Amino acid sequence: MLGTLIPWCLAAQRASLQLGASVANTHTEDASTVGAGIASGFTPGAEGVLSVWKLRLEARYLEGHLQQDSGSIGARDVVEGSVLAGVAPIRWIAIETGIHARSYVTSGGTERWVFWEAHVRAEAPLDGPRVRAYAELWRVLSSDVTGTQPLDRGQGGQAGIILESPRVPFWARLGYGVEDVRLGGGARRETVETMVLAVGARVR
Amino acid sequence: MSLTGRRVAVVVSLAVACGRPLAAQSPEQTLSRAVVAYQNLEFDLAAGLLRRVLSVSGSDTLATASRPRALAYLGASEWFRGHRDSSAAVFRRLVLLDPRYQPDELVFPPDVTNAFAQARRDAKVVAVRAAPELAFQLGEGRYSAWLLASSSHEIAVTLVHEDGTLVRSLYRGPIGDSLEVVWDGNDSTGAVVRSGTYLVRVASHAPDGHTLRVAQARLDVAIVRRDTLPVTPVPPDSLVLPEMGPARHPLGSLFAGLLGSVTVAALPAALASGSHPTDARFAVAGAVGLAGLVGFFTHQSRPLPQNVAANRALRDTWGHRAQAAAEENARRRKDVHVVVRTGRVVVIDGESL
Repeated sequence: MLGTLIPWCLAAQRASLQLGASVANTHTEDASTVGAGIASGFTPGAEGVLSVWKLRLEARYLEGHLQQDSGSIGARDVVEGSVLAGVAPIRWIAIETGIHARSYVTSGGTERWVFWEAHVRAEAPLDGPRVRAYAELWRVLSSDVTGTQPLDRGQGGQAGIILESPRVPFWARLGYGVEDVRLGGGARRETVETMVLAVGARVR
Repeated sequence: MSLTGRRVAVVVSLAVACGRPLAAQSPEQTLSRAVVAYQNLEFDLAAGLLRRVLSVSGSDTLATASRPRALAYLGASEWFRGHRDSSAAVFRRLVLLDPRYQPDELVFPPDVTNAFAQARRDAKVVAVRAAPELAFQLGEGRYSAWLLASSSHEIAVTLVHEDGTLVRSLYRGPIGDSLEVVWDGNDSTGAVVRSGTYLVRVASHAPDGHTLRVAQARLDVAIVRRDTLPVTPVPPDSLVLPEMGPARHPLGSLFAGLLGSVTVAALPAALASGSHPTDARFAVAGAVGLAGLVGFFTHQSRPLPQNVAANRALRDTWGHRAQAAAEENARRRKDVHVVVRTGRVVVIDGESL
């Protein structure tokens, strides 16, 4: 159905589709009653945004390997993805909600983190529509983490800059984000810091 | 009535009868009768008839073309009557009327022709011959008139305004048989004369310098100039496009960049206090702040190249048209025509000057 809907919307010139590849430098800081540590690494991925009138559908995926930097946290593979849907009541503001899942694969097994999140995103032009600054804040509404640890608090944010070329349908994004999740009454805390660079093309 | 009385009555009747037809004859007929009388050696009758026909004025006057012939016969008649002074006076009058006249040598004997030649030599006069109307372009053509002299003498040719003001001295010097005088339409200062009435005066001088007589012809001069083109109007402001784009809000870009930069830098502190963030955020914060700064400067009013080019083309087109009009007007100002109409020639004797 999407395969039929998307081309129709694009043909009607009432929608846009952005697809791109990204690479992030992920820095994970994990602290628990058992131990703490820091792991980091590059996580390439892909992302896309479909906008139809004021509706918006966003999806991201990345995976990579995080090396142990310090502490007792070991190296791990990370696979992360999110799907958010929302509305953009005005041009520079969007409100979205959706699911965000992250899996850590270690030698000891796979740990999954699933969050239901609510996002608010704002953009501001710096040099017309070609260069924009953006900031996104989200709150974790509920979570499902391996080990059934209850959610204390989950929140995150990302900010950066978006560049679009007026002549060619390419865009680029440089952003910095941080997400902080606390579980089990303070028993565990994970902070994920990313610096992402994404490039892609858009179809209007 | 006695015989004498009857003879007188016949003569008077014949005289009355002969007088009526004489009064009804045309001047040409009278001239013809005078010529017949001359040929019949009736010089008294011929002189009487010729003096009568030459003295008539008004509608019955002798044609101008016939007057030289009449004067020639009158001069010859007076010569043969023995009235040398009268003959000379008549011949002088003939020379003044037509300086180029030559009596027919087949009709008049050498004595008469010699007397005429002497009168011609003594009466220094010039006739003016010019086209009734002549038009020429100022700077390229000329007005010309031929001066035909009765004999060699000194002349001075001047062009004067009808009020007597000297306009130009055209010639001063001797004249032999004939002389062409030209005029380029300008006065003595080199400026073109104004339209109006002028006189070309030919003054004949005696050897001692005093003026014998003046022949003058009336000239009606008309200066014809072409109308120039109107000044090419400057393009109205409504056709001129703005060459600078509107200035957007530079401070908005600067503020957004600054706010974004601070947001990036403050994210860990705001959302993950107590964590140990890397310094990578400062690179992104710097990029956002720099973009805001660039937007501040680029949001100034910018030139619109298309409008600049369009306005330049508009001004160039106007400039070319104005230049072409100025050049055409310069050509038209130089394109001045002078139309000269030559009127009757009047000879003024020196005693009247």
